[in-house]
Amino acid sequence: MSVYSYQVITMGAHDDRLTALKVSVEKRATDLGINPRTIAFVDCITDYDRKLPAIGIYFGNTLRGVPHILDKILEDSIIVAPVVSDKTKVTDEIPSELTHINVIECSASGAGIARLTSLIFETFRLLRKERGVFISYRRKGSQPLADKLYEDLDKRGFDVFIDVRSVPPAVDFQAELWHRMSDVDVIVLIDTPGFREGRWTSAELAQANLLGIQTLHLLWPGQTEDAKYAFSHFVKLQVTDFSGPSPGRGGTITKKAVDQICNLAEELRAKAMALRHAHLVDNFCDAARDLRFNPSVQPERWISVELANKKTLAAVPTIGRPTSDRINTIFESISSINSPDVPIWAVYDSRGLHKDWLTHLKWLDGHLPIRTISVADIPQALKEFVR
Amino acid sequence: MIEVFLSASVPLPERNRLYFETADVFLIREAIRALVEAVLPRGRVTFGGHPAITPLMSLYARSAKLDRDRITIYQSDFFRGEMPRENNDFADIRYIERIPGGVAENLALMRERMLQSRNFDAAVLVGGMEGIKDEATMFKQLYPHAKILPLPTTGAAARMEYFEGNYPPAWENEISFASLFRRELLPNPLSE
Repeated sequence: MSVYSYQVITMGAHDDRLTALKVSVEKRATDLGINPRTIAFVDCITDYDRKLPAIGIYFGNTLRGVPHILDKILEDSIIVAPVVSDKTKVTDEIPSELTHINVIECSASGAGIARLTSLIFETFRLLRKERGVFISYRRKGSQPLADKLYEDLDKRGFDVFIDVRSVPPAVDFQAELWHRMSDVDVIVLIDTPGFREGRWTSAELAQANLLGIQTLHLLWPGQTEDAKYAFSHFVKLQVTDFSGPSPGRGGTITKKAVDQICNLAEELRAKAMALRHAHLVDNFCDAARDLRFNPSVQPERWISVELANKKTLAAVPTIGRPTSDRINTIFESISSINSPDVPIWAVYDSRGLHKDWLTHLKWLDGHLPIRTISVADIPQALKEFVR
Repeated sequence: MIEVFLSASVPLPERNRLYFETADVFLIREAIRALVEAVLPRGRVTFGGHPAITPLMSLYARSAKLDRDRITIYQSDFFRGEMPRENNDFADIRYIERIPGGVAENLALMRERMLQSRNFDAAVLVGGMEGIKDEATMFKQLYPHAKILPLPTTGAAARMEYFEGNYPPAWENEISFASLFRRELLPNPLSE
């Protein structure tokens, strides 16, 4: 298992702003229940792992040095936040490769550090409401273990959705499950004997796979891997992971085993998020480049594309379901930056989304000053702007 | 319409460690999800059925309301009973009769029929074990001028094929599979 799951790639000056940022990130993580060690500050001299979430920060300085990996970072469509001491000093402190990106004003003591910290946590979607995890289990087989995992994941800042108890009475379970599933990054399956014949049907499994959700698959002692679940990340529970004479229903699982499961959940969640995000951003940027546009990923997580007549298209990648409140937040943040008549797109991944949602999105398109575009439709939609 | 042959499987830890060690299960799935999204609206995908890949593909075909003939799945009767039958409505599933002999003979027959079923434009190799090697070899003999895309980041047999063959260096670390498929398999958007 890797030591960390999220990467902050630091470039430019390594001064007291960086020190202050590290302190601030550590504190914010601790407040959220997230182990600060899962967020690593990676020096730009060492390479980063593309399969894990990453954000680049360039601390402006008068030398305006360009690290050799900057090209790769930009090509990989990773968010880079250029930091300046004062907004009037962009050309003095930021290399020309980054001047097309909105800058953030920041000194070691001012409010800029808090803003940068928020930017990091928002980019990695580390706020509780965006950290969905779903636990599925068989009540007869592992209720006490499911409860333990619920508590521990909750303490670690996850928004845990557990089979029966998170669904209010009278709510259609199946519909609620499909609904919630599109917003989580990880599913934990507790595979006790009889689990596979239960309500975790092949339709749900196929949907999770089509959505790009990671499955942390806990195999009860004696249960074996199954090709139907080949996309799962298997963990074989051993009899020694339980302190009692037999695993029973899992109530005696050791703290060490629970910690390992929760750490793995964090790691898989980070990978799922990185891939889901990369699918949206990379595809958009690549499709735009293929049409000879020059897309820039902005620190506020939207992508700007210069159109004819100095107009800018704003594309906002949305992981999971683009809900109307998410779209509203996007609209507010972009409107403050752009002039009012620019097109704004919410780019989303339609694979695995329930058809009711896709219909709903079409309806929203007719009522909102924003267009929702699925990844598959990006090339065609962008072509409308080709002169 | 572009005809794509998909050779893919997901190595399980219990099977051959040689393939499992380098396999990246998540990227194997990403590659299949990307292929489906980038290629199916413009083409057809033919592959040998797999218990995890078949349901994913048919769910996509169902939700995207694609014609049933966009996905063709070959299945040997040797394994009849092990495969879920609920996919028949959303994909063209072809069962190949069982012949005397074991797994090897039956798989060989299925592969032969599958690879001769269409005039393929390209083969995409994802993850996989021994079967991918066999399918790649047969494919090259039958379609010497077709494009072959082994995806090395998915690991396992596809990775071996990439390093053994003469393929573009840029693919070595590529994980933006949808872009790769669009660029390699579809016409240039500016020339259309």
